[in-house]
Amino acid sequence: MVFNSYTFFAFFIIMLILHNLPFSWKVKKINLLIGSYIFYAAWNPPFILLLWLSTVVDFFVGRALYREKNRHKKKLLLVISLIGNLGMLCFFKYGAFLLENFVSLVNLLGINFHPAEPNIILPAGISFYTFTTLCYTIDMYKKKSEPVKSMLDFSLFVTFFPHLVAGPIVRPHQLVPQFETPHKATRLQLLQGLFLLSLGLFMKIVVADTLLADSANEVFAFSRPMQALDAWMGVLAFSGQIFFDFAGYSTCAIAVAMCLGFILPENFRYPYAAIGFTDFWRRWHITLSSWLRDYLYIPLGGNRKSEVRTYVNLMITMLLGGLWHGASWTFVVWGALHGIYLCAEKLIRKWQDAPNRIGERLNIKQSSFVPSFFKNENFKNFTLAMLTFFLVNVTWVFFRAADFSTAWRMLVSMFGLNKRGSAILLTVDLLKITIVITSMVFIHWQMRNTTVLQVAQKAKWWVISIVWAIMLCAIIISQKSGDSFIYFQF
Amino acid sequence: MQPNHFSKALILTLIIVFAFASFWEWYWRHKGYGIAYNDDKYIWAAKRKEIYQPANRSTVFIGASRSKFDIDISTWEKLTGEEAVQLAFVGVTPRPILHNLADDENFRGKVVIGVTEGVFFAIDSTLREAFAREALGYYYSETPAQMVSTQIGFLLESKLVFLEEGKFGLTELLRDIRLRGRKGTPNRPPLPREFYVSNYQRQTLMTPMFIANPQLQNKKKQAWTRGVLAAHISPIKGDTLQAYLQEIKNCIDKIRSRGGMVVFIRPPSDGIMLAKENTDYPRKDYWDQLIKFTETPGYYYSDYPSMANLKCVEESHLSPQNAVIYTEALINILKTQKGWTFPQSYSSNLKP
Repeated sequence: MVFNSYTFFAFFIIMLILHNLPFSWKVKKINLLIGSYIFYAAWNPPFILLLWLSTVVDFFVGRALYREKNRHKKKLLLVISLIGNLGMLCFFKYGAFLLENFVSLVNLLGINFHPAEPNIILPAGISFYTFTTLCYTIDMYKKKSEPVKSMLDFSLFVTFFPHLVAGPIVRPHQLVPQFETPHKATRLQLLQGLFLLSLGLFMKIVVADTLLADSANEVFAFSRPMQALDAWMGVLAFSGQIFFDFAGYSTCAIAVAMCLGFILPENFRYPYAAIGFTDFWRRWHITLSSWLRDYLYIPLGGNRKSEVRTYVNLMITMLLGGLWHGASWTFVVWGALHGIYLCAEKLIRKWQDAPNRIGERLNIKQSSFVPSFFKNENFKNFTLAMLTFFLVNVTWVFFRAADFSTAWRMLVSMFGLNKRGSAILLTVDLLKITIVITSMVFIHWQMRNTTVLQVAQKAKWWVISIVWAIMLCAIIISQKSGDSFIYFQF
Repeated sequence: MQPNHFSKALILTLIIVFAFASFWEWYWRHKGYGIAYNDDKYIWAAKRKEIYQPANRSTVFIGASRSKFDIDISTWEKLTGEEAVQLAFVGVTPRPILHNLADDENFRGKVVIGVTEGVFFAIDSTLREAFAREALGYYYSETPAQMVSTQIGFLLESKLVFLEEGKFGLTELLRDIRLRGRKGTPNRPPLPREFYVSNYQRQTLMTPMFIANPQLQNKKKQAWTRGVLAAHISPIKGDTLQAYLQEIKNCIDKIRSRGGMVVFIRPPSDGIMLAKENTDYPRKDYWDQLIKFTETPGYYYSDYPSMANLKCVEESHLSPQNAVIYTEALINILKTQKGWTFPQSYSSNLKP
């Protein structure tokens, strides 16, 4: 079930009513759990078995991990959990990819091996709920927190429908305590939740699907060389589409949970206003990047070992982060580019912080020839943010392109290496993309240190109302419903 | 922010949204538009399910837009007593759907294949078939949640005019903005919004506004001239044509081997459109070859007095009134000449 569908609308009203009826807290939790299973089964009923399997195994393994004193047995239990979770993920998500690469490799060695193409359906949300359960067992192994006492609470933690299919990826301490005591939304929470839900749907239906998706699809599907303007507009349209699609989903998820009285972690914080890549990953898909930091980068050694090892750890983390998004080498390259950017940024910062940097050694006084306007801190930061945005856009080419030849064609066109490229997009499309992307960057920059609800708190009630009404009217006119979210495929 | 402030904001929002939605609905109704359904993959998938009701007693129509305009589904169901399922796509070759029906072991019904030469004999699997493949993909992967959403969507579309996304959606409204075209990009005028509506049976009908307005009809004719006729798609010939005919025959043989029946129809066209079709796809080289090679009955409109004089409103499609006449004539021909039997006895004074 997707948030932007009539089915969800009906489902959500039923869940809201049930959650506000005078049932006991346990009954309310059972309602939420059954509702979450219906939410998931409405996509593909058989895959609910995988969800159950993952829940049951991790609940008992997690408890055993916490209690086990014997180090070897403890490690064995952790391995069981890792094999169970990652094995499932590998089979469903990477099975076909691994086989394809294996076949290419053996064919390269001259062995004629052509197995039948596997027909594996990717269960919705497997990448997300696998990470949710994995962090629980790893936390239990490290005794970071107490095991969840009840199976009901643990099942709800894994399955709670707002975050189940595409995050935010939750940690046990963020959600489990909320299930232990009765939770019901206050009137303000309910109203703010409905406002955020409208905002999330506006981002997805109006901006991502109606204003940007067609142009991005058209440009990336074009099989011949194109003009640089079209290539850039296509990439910019996609950079907007992916943000509004995924941040729209996260906003809906947070809003739906808020309407029921639960708080989910923030997942996006105006990423296109990021100054540098460290900042970018603190703003884009925050729950994934913090998961990768805590459960991959730090266990690998983080920055606690040698300098070279820090860069290696960064690259490994970003490569695997890329692969998490999809079973394709293009995603690996996307991750690699981000890894390189992060390493480069680290190097630059190190150079800047060094006491005997070149500038000082040569005694160059910037003030002597740089106009005062350029020394303005805000201007410098904005320039750096735009440089970051530019480089992020280059990475999106690999993220969106179906294969390397498409990515190469796009890059060649973007950097004007085509002498005779075609014009693809109509003037109205160019105008649409320019307005949307400029507005997006402007809003990100203005909002970079605040949140929507903080701004709403200061605004007059009728201003909120007008903004809210415009969003809902735009959704009514746009009408696109039922289109899946991009991150569902991950 | 106090809860009261947000409550006030919500109340005003609901008032504005309700007022806007009412105005929007009134506006389009006032302009003369009525209830219609989005002719999208969702309704196509819903109709695709109906081909088994029952499996040997349904007639499925595939082809391009002429099948959708020229076959009157209600007339067909009334006169034959059989379920009529419209699975044609506008501007799309019936090839993928024919393959799908041929490969479906459970389908044993009748198939009427509409032939519009410029579409039927154009093998361009990447563009023209994309929509058909998308609809087929959706049909096989439709989730329970999507099924429910689709049914709720149909219910709403049956009440609200503005929910016809293909005409009144934001994307379509933005297409109305005419800006100076970029060199090299297509600069086709948008199709008149009044041209047609699609009903729940997926039949496409010209609107009374369009039929009554020669200016709109001319606009549409110009769109044909600029778009369809100017498209430089070379007709397939020689070995490619033979291979294509073999492919079609294989599909038809599969359907017939299960007791199904197949016919081809060539609905009417007029004026420049007909002249272009006759030039690019001479009847003896294409239509006659198709009928002969596939050993399948075919009905070319000009061979039958009851159809030959039917005029197309904009050179390519029949008006709803003429669609009824065409459908009656077709049923009569099928009964009297080819021995197609239908549960409902039908007598007509129309002579084939």
